[in-house]
Amino acid sequence: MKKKNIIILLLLMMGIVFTIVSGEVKKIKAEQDERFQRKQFVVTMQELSTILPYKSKYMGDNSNTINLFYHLPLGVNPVKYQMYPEELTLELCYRTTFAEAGIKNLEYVANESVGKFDAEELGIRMTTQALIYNSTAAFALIDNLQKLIFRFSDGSYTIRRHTIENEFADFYPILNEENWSRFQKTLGKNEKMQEISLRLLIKEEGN
Amino acid sequence: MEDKVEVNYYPYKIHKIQITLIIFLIGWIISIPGTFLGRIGMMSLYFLIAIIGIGIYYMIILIMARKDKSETVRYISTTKLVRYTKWSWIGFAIFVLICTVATTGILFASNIWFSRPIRINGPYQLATIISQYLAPFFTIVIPIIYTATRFVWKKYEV
Repeated sequence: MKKKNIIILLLLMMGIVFTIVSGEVKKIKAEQDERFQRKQFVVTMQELSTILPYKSKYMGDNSNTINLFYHLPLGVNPVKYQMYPEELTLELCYRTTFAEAGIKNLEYVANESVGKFDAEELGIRMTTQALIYNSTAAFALIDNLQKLIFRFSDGSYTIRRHTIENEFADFYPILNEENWSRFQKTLGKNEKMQEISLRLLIKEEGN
Repeated sequence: MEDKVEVNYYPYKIHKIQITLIIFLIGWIISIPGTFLGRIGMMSLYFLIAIIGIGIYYMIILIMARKDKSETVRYISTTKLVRYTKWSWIGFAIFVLICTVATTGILFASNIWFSRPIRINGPYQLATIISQYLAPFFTIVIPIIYTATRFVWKKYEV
């Protein structure tokens, strides 16, 4: 009887030690995962492998399309989706303004609030970059999507497949690691990105 | 009939509870690394709850054994013990079978109806799926306990 009690106590201690160790390991892993997750919302740092699973032939594959945008930069913003299957068009309605959407994304990435000082400018840059990136990703991954409309409370932007494909013709086929990271680097250069955005993002008034 | 046997109740009971505790503890320790993988992690929690429950019961029995000056003797049915052992194994087999069929249904049937095949993107996803299949096998502790304790009475026969 004594012997078995000792075995029970030893096993109990072993179990407790195991639980504590696995808890610590889990905590470390969760931190790493979170850091990785934050990085995925930065245009220049997102890994192609996080969005590749959302490759689909049809834009009508609702959950796939919505999930794709949820995993792209700006995905932290609440958004309403409207689909026009006859015109192969997808419309994303953000509740915020153009700049605010970018600020929210930045705050998520940095895990702190952005200072008031030049938040507006940073936000605009972030959203611009993200819109180009997101539409390129969407056109590359969803085969029959032809037109994207991004609506913000202070204006809307329409991007068509052929304009993107013409703009980034050098990078096609774009869905491989090498071309994708070249494309990301291009967007990372601010002046280049601004230049591209002047051609691609034309603001239409109204909401 | 030889069916009924007289045993020293408390020492017999304590022996059985100790074996039960040891087997549950081993099951718990084995399931701890699985806490990374969802389903087995739940098993680990169930084990912990069971261990706490059995532990409290053990304490109560120990206290009662200490108070028991008259060395209580009770009848137990040996054929029943053997029968319970058999049925615990049959129950375990049925349970595992049902769980395996259900898991397969949940994971792979959506491919039949919605043509949305399961995506296994890496070792982690694979491990979660294996974990879902392995979790019900942890209930093997119950038939093992029945098997391990079915002849314990021999030691305490009066």
